[in-house]
Amino acid sequence: MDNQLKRGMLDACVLAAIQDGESYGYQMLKDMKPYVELSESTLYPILRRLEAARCLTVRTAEHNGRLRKYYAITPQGLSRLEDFKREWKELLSIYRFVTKGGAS
Amino acid sequence: MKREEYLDRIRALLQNLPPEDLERSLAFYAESIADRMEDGMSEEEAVASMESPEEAANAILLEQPLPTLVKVRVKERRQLSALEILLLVLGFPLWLPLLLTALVLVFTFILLAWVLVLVPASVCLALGGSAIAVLFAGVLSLTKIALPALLAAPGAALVLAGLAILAGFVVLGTLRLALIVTRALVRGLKSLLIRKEDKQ
Repeated sequence: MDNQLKRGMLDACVLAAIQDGESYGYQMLKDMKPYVELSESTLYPILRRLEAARCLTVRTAEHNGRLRKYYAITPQGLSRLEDFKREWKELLSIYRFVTKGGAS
Repeated sequence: MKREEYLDRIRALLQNLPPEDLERSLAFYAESIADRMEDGMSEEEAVASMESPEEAANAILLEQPLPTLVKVRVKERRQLSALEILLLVLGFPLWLPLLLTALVLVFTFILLAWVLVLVPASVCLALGGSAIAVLFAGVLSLTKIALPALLAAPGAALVLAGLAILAGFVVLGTLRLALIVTRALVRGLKSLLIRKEDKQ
């Protein structure tokens, strides 16, 4: 698959994993697993990138005597998610046109 | 493998990385192992369900900015055998021009992409500037009572401003393209540096 396209999809997956509330790395991987299987080294760069783009915020909190990082979506992240959904709606309608064999 | 062994293996693979960057990345992997254990896995199972330390190390390397990567490579290359040094010196007339050509080529592509932005940007500025100039000329001609010029000036300014906005859209389009090209080339350069490392 086209790299740029794949990257956009994975960004959206990660944002979707925190759209209903903050979450942490392993939980996000688990939530995404039925749909897309990611590894730590795929997830980590995406989180860093989305943080740099201010689509999410990170906070460190203590959990069972150790530190855990929690990621929360920002309004910017939510609007990125909305953009993604809109773009794919357009793409899907094109897909339907293509698969039904054009204007026959 | 135990958790500390896993992390130490990555540390060993990336010993030339700035320690604070390395530890920040490692904390992410350590947290994930701890969360797996809390989820019911044994320490060995948790580590086994992670990707290999080599894969993790490569991914962390790829995340580093280009200057850091180059520094890491230079550090790793310190211990060269006498034969390698001899070959490097003898091969100098061959590899230097090749290396320079490759670098200049990459640089040219980046430059080309940005020139592509510059052209519509200057067209946009020229049109915008003309629009303002024409408007001023119209105002100035008020005092001389040149009616045709007075009538034509606002219309012409409007047309020029419209064209300037159109050119602005082209600027935005090419800007996106230039950013994509630059990013792809920098990424390519980075993976070139990392793939070489696998062969060692």
